Amino acid sequence: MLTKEFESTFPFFSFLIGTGETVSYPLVTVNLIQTGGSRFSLPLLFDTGASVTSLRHDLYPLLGLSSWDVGTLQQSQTAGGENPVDAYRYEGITFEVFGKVLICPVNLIKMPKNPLFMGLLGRDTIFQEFGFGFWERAQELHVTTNP
Amino acid sequence: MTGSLVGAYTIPEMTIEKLIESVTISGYSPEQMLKQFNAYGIEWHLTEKGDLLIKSWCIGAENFVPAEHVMRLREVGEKHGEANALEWVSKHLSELRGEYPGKWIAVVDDQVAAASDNLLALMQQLHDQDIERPFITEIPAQPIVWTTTYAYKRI
Repeated sequence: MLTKEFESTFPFFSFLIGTGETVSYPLVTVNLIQTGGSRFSLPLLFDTGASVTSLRHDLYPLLGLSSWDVGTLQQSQTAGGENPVDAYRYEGITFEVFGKVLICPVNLIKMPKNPLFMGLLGRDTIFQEFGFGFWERAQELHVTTNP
Repeated sequence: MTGSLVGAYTIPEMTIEKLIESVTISGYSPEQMLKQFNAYGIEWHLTEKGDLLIKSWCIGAENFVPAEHVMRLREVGEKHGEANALEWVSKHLSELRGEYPGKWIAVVDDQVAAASDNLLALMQQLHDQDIERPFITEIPAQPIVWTTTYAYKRI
């Protein structure tokens, strides 16, 4: 039997919405670390389907950019869309994720506004540093920093 | 605990050194000790190696805990951290939507520390007020679409 060990558990966030229904998201808070050392905490949606960590396009000031579309243009497929959408890629962005400071690429992309997540925590660079256990029934995300 | 103390941070009538010494002598576990720090309002952080850092991020004690215990023990201090800002925002979303529709907000210590119509202006406010490590989000003015590809509803 395959056994994996995780040191930490992050419960999904559940919200009662206006219709009386409950919605749940696997959300994590990461710190974006600017070149000067300033830190900003951002809620991101844990997304194994995202190749690259992607932030809402209007967060470009946090990256020290003059506008969102000055990076390398990419075409990005989205879960809900038939056609690829424009994304702009930026290299060398520093995040603190689950206590580890990592430098990774980021895509800025237009996405729906939700106050509880400002982007998607994606795989490039970041996922290699961790092991994840996704327990939908228990609504828990298990994490190890020693994969 | 066999770690050596490197830094010192003064709190009223006591130093971190004395505090660590006192709880170590008392036979407290690292977890209990971290809770003591919380009780004293001392910010702390565990490095990936298991070193204990205290406020100002100087090393409080090297090899404070084994590396494999770091993630679990960090949770003891989460109530001080920015991670819980998300929880606070989620619990107060209705009020926030009433008070800050269409605004960017910065949350620190379970309250809105700054709010503005756009992110650049918010960042300027944060800079002017010397606010560190804020949790940033935007409160949409429009109705929020909750049931996305990424979420499900439970009736």
